[in-house]
Amino acid sequence: MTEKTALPPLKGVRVLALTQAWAGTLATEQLALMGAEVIQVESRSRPDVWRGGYRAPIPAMLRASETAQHGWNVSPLFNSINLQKEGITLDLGQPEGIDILRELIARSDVVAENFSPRVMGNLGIGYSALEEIRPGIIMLSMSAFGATGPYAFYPGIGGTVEAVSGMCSQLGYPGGPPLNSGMMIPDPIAGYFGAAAVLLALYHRNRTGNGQHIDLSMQTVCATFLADALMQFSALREVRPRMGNRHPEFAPHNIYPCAGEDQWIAIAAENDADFEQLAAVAREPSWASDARFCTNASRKKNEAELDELIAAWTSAQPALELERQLISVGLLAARVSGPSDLLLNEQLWHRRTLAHATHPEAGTFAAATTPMHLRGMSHDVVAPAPLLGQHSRDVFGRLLNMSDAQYERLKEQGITGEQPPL
Amino acid sequence: MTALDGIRVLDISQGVPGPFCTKFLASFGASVTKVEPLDGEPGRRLAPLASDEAGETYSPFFLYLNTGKLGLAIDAGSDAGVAVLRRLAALSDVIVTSSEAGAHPLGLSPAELAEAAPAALVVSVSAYGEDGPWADRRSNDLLTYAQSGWASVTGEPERAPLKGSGYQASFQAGIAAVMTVLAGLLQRQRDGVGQCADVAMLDALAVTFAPALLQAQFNGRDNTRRAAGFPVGPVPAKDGYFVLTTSRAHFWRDAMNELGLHELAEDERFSDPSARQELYSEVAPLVEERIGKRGRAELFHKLGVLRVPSGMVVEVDEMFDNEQLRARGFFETPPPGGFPELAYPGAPFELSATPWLTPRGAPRIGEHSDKVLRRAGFAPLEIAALRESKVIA
Repeated sequence: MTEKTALPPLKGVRVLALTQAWAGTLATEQLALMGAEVIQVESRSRPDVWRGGYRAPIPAMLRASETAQHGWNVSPLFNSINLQKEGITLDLGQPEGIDILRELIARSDVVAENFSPRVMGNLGIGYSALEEIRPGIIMLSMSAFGATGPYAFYPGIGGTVEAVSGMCSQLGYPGGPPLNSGMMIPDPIAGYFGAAAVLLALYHRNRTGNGQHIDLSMQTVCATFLADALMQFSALREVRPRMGNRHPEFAPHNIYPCAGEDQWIAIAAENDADFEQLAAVAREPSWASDARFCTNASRKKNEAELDELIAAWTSAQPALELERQLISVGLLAARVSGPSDLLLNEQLWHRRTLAHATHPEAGTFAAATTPMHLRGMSHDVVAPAPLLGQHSRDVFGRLLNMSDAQYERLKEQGITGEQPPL
Repeated sequence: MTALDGIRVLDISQGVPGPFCTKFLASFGASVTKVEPLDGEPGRRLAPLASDEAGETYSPFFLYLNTGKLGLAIDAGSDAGVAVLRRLAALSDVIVTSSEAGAHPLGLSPAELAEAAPAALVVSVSAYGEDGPWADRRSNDLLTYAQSGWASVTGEPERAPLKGSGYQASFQAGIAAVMTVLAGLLQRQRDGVGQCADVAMLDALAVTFAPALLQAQFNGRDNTRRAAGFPVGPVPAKDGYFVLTTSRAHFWRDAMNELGLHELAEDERFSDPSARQELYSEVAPLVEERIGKRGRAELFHKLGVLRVPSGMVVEVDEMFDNEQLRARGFFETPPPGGFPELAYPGAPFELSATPWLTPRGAPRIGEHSDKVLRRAGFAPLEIAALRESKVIA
């Protein structure tokens, strides 16, 4: 089988995504990019919160565009993590809406949801009901704390899970208070784990015919990312303090200011040879022979002083040029990239981790797609996120043999549609 | 039956992401053999080190990353060692390796491994991937945070950008490697052929950063670091720190009532979450003052019962006593083998039919060399000769 004829990993797998916002939506987007047919189910009365609501303004850079008509279709957040999916609308508050959902479930391999734990049961589509509708089905449930335990029914979002998972206790400047990450990092972490869990369950199902229920707690997936600090406490009874950008073992290991506004560079030296090189680039060879800095142990001990010296040097240097100099002698250095810098990253474009997508309202943009590079995955042609209800007619026709007249009737009853409710 | 029952994994990877990936596979039932040089892989020295009762040092984090694996130590610098590795590779379903600045553990590139094992799925994990203009550059977690955009949004506005604590970039690469192995196995299950795939830490973080890339293009400005405090992050409570977010109208109302700020609860200006953004600076001191008088657990439970999302900041030592983690059985104590018995973070999620199981702790260097070779069909005399000539240990 050659590269060109290879089928993507999840060709033929159908996923119904009842997810909202980031975590579950990223999980199912990753499945879509692996070749699954992913149908995102939204309700017109409560569309995905990442669409920004029906009063969402058209973003500044799209205001001059003739195609950008509806704020909820051109939200940057929603469009960033729903690539390669189809989108339908269904009102699950109406019995016929639930009936249609059950018919879709009967034709699906995976159902993903991130409601709070009792919602699916209340809708009559908890895991045991799904199993009856479609034996062998896999259900991915993602919630803040999982479906069991004393916090099971407490709601949570990335920013609060970050606190309860221990994550933010470890994030912050030395001696400073705990912080949250800039963008609710628990969500995409949970997204990756959710996708991995579905893959495990699919592998098992293919061998046995048996489905299963995945109960994913964002608290535990995030705690997993703290395994080093947790093991340190387990073995040594030490609570690791907040360390900013510092490393438990090496110095220097920090982010330093450069010339210009909000320009920064990360620099690290993992051994004495690295540090000698660094001193040479800084034209401060005496650093390397200074008793305060000549060994890693002494550098670690006098790290604050060392950081000040390095910062005094870097703050007069342009970040790009300094990065080039340090990399050219094999040192660990990287300028801090913001989102716009990332869009120009040659390595990410080379690997096709960045790709272009063209959206009917938002036009053509660059998006980060997937960290996976398996045969048959199409990195060059990526379909954009669906408009609200864009594929309802297609999906109902294709999977349920629904006629256009039936579809129009459902629209009139408000069970589906492409527009906000009146 | 476990999810990955019967899957044979040869793990040549070193450090954090590759070993995390294979640990995960082992806990879902794969049979994982960890191959190391005779003096152990560098991960055995991940700081901080601890000592056992006999005064021998070990890395607690290494133990975590290598549970469930059999250990084989081999001199891959010798022809005989390479021949052994090629034989083991040919018997594997999956081979996981890593690379650092273009150099591969035991000197074997993914292409060489694939040649020895054409039907296997070969996955390599590195900072930038196996190809591209940056493939041979050195990197680490700090640099990846800087390059992926994540540092630019993390930390306080007037201060240096921050990386995530510990090895979170490596963990992101690790779970991306898990996804790659599992999807590759599904493909192999269907197509019956092997392939090479690489996983880059930078890719993993760029994809989790995806929303900021579209915000930059659509809004015409970059996200950057935001002031700490309400409603973005932790604020001081009476006995620690507390996060309160109020993204929906009724979250705001119920939270303000719980804090005794009834006027704010009823204030019409706060009913629209999107209009509220500019008003926060006005009320933040008031909200923070009220939170400062409350115990974090008490307030967390009150708001939880009211269905308002909030978070008490749990410290690392408190994690082991957290009632939710206890109820979920998160911490596990694998059979320690030759190392001290410790509590480890366990299942990241629960699968109803094929649960996470950790059958054994991390191997000592070469602990299972004989067993691994016997299983692979090596004759006892052959194994003895390899041991005699110091090809294995």
